[in-house]
Amino acid sequence: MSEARKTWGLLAEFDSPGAILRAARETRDAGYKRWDVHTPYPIHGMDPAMGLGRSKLGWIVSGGALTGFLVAMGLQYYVNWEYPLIHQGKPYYSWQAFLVVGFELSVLFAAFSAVLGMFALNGLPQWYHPTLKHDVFARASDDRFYVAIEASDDKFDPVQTREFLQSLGAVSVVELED
Amino acid sequence: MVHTDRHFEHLDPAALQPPANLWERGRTICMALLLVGLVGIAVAWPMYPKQFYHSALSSWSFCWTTMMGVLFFVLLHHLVDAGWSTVIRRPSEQILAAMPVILLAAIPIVIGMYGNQLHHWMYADPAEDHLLHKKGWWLDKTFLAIRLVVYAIAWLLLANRLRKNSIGQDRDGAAHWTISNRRWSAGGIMLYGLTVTFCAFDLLMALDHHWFSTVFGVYVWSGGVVGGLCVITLVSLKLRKGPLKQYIGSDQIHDLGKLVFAFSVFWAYIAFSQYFLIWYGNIPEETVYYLKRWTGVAEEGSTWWFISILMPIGRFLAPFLILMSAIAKRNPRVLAPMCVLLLFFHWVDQYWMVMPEKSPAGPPLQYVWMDLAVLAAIVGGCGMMFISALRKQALLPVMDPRLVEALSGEHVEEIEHAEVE
Repeated sequence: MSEARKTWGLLAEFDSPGAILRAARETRDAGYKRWDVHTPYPIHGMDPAMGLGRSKLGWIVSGGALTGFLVAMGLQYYVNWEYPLIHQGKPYYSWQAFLVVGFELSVLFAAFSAVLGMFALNGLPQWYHPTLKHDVFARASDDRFYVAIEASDDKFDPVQTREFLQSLGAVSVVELED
Repeated sequence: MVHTDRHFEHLDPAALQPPANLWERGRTICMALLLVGLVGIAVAWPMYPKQFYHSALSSWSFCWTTMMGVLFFVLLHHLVDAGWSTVIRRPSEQILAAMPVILLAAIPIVIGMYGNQLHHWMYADPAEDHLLHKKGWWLDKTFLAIRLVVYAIAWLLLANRLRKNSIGQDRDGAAHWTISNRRWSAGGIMLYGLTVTFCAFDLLMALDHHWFSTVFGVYVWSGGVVGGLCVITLVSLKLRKGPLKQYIGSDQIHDLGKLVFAFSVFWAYIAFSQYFLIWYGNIPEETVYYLKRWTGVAEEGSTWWFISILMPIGRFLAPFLILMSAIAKRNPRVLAPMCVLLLFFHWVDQYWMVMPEKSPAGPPLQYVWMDLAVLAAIVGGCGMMFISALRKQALLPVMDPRLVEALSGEHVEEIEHAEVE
């Protein structure tokens, strides 16, 4: 007796950008929370249609930039306090000279926090995604548009959710395994 | 996306003809400013000529750099074949119609210069001034006159040509207008860069002919681009509340906000670069510029340091922190006050560049009314020319091939969603 495969969710296939926009709005309004849309190219207006809020990445990057600036300033003030060195007859604590390093470390830390923050928010790294297991998904990089609703969603029901997706005008609805 | 054609149907050239009394109140205010300014000038000029010439130079420089910022925006639009800014290009071109006012307003400055009231090198003896002797080939009265005429012709030519081509296209929609503007912009941007840089050298940097800074032209120009973009943003926001309501989208406002933000940062970058290199090099001929604007070079000291501290805060730090978020850039209630703040500090910047050369002890606040009189006269004159020009032509380049592109975008979809839901 082989072990029963666990259902990950349902994948509905649509054939036009207009249909996917409408499907996204309906899914949003139906109250689903754990779902996503897959399209071959960016679709304008998809963010509001899916009810996505603003990304938190900006705050992460701002925090990174501020940290970088403070690290740079702290480092330079500390070094000039720990090992004071007369240079060009300038004062030990010359903010003018420190600003250059401050700017560079702000940019560096901001760049790092942008990349790492994006990975964290997207749940990366991930070995594979369940949608990639089904052949029907191959056209996601060509000319088809998909809505995937996960089984872990509170509103998910194998029968009702399938009927709901079909009522949106899906070309096909398939079950995805984890 | 798919909506482009649908929206071109809305575009009725007749509906884009502005009403004959467009911005009547604004025109009245501009006329009042012009009259008050002219009265102020008539009082100030004979009362204290030296102060008046310096006030005229600083306030004129504010208007001139701002106009150059607008000219840069139009040049850049054609140069990079931009799409999004097509809907705000016509108002920008109509601002360029006020270019003759800027050139006319420079006449008192030229009188002050050649009347030995502004630039010390005009009446200093090169035999007793080694640096002046070395720079004599450039700082020459005849050569300067030729240069000033060349600058004036170049700006008038560029402004007129770009504007005439754009208006010409309204009639037949032929491609050669666009191509001509593209060619003029490619050559024009070089002419523009050189004339703006050298005019900044001749009128502002030469106030102290001992001092020099190679980045000075970029400094003056970058401040002017901030000023020009702020004016374009304010005009666009105003038009968006009126006749261009459904044409200027939140995307365009967002993009203008980004440009204002970016050039405010760019100005700070250039200003710091100039200061930093002079601080680092520590050569007396160079540091004198900042010493005068800090605690002064004379025994009695100076209070200019106060403005030197305010400037990076008002022109960079405050707009940087406030306009950083995309929500702020899209919100006219945040963006418009920031533009006014930046324009005010752009004016303070010109004052800070010019006035310490005349009043080393501190800002001559009892004569600020002279600066304001010149400012009112030039802004009033430019505003009247601008509004008159705006009334004569369509408010959008109605036959421009890029207009369809500019009218599609996220803001169009927002409207569409509102229709669907």
